[in-house]
Amino acid sequence: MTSTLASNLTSSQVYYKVEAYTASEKAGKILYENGITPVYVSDNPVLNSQHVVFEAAKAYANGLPYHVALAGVTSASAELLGLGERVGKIKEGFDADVVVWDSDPLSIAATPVQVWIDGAPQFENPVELKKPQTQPIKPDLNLQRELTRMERAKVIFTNITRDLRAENNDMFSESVNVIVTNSEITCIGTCKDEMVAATNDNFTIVELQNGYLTPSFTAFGSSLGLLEIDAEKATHDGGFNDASFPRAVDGLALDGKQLATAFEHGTIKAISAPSTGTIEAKGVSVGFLTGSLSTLDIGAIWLEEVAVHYPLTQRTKSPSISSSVGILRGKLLAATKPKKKDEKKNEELYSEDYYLRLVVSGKLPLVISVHKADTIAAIIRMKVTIDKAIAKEITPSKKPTKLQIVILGGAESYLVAKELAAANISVVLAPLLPNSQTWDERRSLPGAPLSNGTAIDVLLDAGVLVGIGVNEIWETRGLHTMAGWAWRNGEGRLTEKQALALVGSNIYQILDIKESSSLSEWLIWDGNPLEIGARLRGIGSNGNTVIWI
Amino acid sequence: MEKTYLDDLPSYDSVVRQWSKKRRSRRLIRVTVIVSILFAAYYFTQISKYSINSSKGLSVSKLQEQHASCQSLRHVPVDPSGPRLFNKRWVNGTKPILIKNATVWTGEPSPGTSEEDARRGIGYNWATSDVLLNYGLIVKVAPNINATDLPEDYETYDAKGRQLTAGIVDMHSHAGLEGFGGLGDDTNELSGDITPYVKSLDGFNPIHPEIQSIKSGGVTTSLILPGSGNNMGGEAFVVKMASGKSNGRAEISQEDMLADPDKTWRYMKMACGENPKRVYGRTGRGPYSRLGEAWEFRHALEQAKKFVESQDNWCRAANRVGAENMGEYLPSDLRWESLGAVLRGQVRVNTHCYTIPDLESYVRHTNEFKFRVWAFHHAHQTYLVPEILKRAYGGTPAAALFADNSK
Repeated sequence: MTSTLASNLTSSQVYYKVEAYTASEKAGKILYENGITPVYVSDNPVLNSQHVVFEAAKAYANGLPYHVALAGVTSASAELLGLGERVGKIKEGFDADVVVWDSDPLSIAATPVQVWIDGAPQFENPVELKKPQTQPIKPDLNLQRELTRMERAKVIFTNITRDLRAENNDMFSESVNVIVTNSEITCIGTCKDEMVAATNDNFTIVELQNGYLTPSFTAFGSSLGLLEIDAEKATHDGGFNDASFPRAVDGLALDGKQLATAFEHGTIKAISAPSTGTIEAKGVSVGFLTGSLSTLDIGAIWLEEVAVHYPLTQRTKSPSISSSVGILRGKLLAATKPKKKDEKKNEELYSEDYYLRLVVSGKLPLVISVHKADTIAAIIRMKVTIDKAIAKEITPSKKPTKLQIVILGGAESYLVAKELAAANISVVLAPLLPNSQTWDERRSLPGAPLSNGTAIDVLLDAGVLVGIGVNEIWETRGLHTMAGWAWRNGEGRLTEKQALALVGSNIYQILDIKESSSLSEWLIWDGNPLEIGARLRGIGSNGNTVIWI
Repeated sequence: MEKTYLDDLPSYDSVVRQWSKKRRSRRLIRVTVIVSILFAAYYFTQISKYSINSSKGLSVSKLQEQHASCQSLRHVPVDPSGPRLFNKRWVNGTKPILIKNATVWTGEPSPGTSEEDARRGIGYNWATSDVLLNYGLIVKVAPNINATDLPEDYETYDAKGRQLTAGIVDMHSHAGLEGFGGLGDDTNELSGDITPYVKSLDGFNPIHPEIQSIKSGGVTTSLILPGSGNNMGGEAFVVKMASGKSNGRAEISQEDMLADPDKTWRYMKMACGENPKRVYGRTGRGPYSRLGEAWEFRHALEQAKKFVESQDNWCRAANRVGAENMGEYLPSDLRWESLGAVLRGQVRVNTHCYTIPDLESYVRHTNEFKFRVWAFHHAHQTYLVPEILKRAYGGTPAAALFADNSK
């Protein structure tokens, strides 16, 4: 577990380059308190400018007053441009630049229903999401309060109103208490006698307003644990090449700030494959606990070999997409052939062929990093070929198996959603909201008001099993907000639990692995983590409990 | 969008040329007088044009024109004011719109709120209101706007109680500079580290599809900055995210997208730290380190300062001896013109700086050369050193941040 000193100012840092290694999510709040105006920007294409208002929303969640956060993408920015009398306010004499939103602009997934520029409507037939009408956010001043991180063996959480881990009814008829000893939840409910005993036993009490108990989150597809500063190679495990077939567990570097930050945002577990900071990975992924100090910690590695990964993108093709698909198909076909006796003797453990034999015999899933619909179509065609070979060469002697393929990335996967569903291929969208940044992703759906939903909506409608992964490491801190995005803009496709499953149990189902001790890992929030402004107040994992008071 | 043109209201062209419809009576007399004056003016211009400063062979009229420009050279812009008859960006044919039943965030606290309360957010509210748009302006914000206040031929939009805000302003965007799908890129002019003389507008593609998708997130105004590969990246431009007829504009054009057609302010991008080092730093070639970057900044600013001084000296001399007696023309140098404008206070400088050494070094430059930086971008370590920011010349810069993606 990381040091408790890493709390407050420096607890939520993110580190793309050395220069950013001391950044703080509280920066806006601190600057404002010191008389300096914070504004929020996209640096498009670094962030998609389409969602720059979400930066302001997160700033509000991180303690910046609501009105300052909203000014930070409207009036304060306009003033800095010398246009403070013309732009950024709804006031007589200002330019007629107006947005009508489907929900509070600082809520998760707030979406315009119409935009006017200089009085002219900008969307002729805007898609309007079917969303329950909600009142504006009532600014929560508690978000401005600094919390202190502590580790405690014995904790009571009060005022829990919902348990989103529960199979069935998650709503408590009255708010309840949760009693924890060494990360084990010993009582949920009124727990009358237990409360008396615990109070006498000096349990630390965390008083909540509107407590939510949820499963923990799993980051899938990132370089978490294999890379500390994106732009600094010295901090990387180092990726892969044509010759090597690395196992991520051999390169895992724990106890970094990236991991500490992910942990403190509820990302307790991660599945990482050898890569260099994008979805493009090759080798064997590892499942580990983000709060571990080293791979030798008890429970740190909960699954040494999760899946076999290959990239099939423009950036990683060698020399072409067609040849990369061909090479992979050839290798998989070769792996379906039984070995001769003398070959068996010389079988090289941990080799590429060794892992591909595990893939074709159904023991490990094959995860392919790919965005482009055409390449996904090629993968579906390849699967047909391999499945035939498996049926011919392997299945007659053993139980029937099929190639288990997972698409990681999937910006354009929605274009072949039905075919993916038919081929029983699942998709981990990474990121959830791509924006045509590369040619491979050029047909990314921007969502309402321009398109009827985004990729996830189309995939869910087609019956594809979907998860949300991450592309870049910083995204591992916002998994619940991405789940919230899918939920809020999903027009009823997902329940809250199903939304949280996108960054939890779905990942395990997709990879066909059993989630390790899912009940002994939990998160307790004040507020609904699928909404803006929920704060993580307790984490239970691997025998330890971290709280924020 | 289909557009119907209104006869009695200004069109986009007439906005530029000013209204000219006048009564027909006395028109002939007027025309005659004007023609005579124009002819006389032309005649004298021609005479002076060819009158040569006898000692140096310079054109007197050019010297006089340049002398006349001295005042505008030193002009310090004032923010354009709000209330107007019409918005110069307004396109004739855009129908007035009454947005009914919205829940409005005006962006201002209610009248009478003390400054202290406003800082804490007291007085800011979402309130039920109608909003009337006409002539490209917000002309009325009030609950239940009276029928008598409504123009003819307006359209109604029922907001159904939903939240309404001003359009989002993104003051750090490279939208339209990079090719679609990552093909091609006009973000950085990497021919040299000091390129204050280039302009992002020259690479800005007004039909880039991302303009529409970005706007679909509510962004109506963007500061289009050159990239951060250079210590001095070039001039930036504020655009509205509306392009072409389908967005209610008269045409597809870079200039048409400028948020302030009067170009009151100019903008410039600069950058500190790792990027220019990474782009240019080689043994024997700089900037190799932050030391070299500080030199690059100061050296460029020194050139610009010399240039500004040479112009000011010329203007003073012309005031003293008369423009026609000047022995040379007003100094001009495109390389340092825009940076000179920075020193003259005409340019809102936006600088990409992350770390304490970068911030403090840059703040030193502002004081040494007396120019203002309006915002530090990325600015990850600003929260550790507000005191340094407050020492910047001409006013405390803002910090333009990401909420949690520290790139």
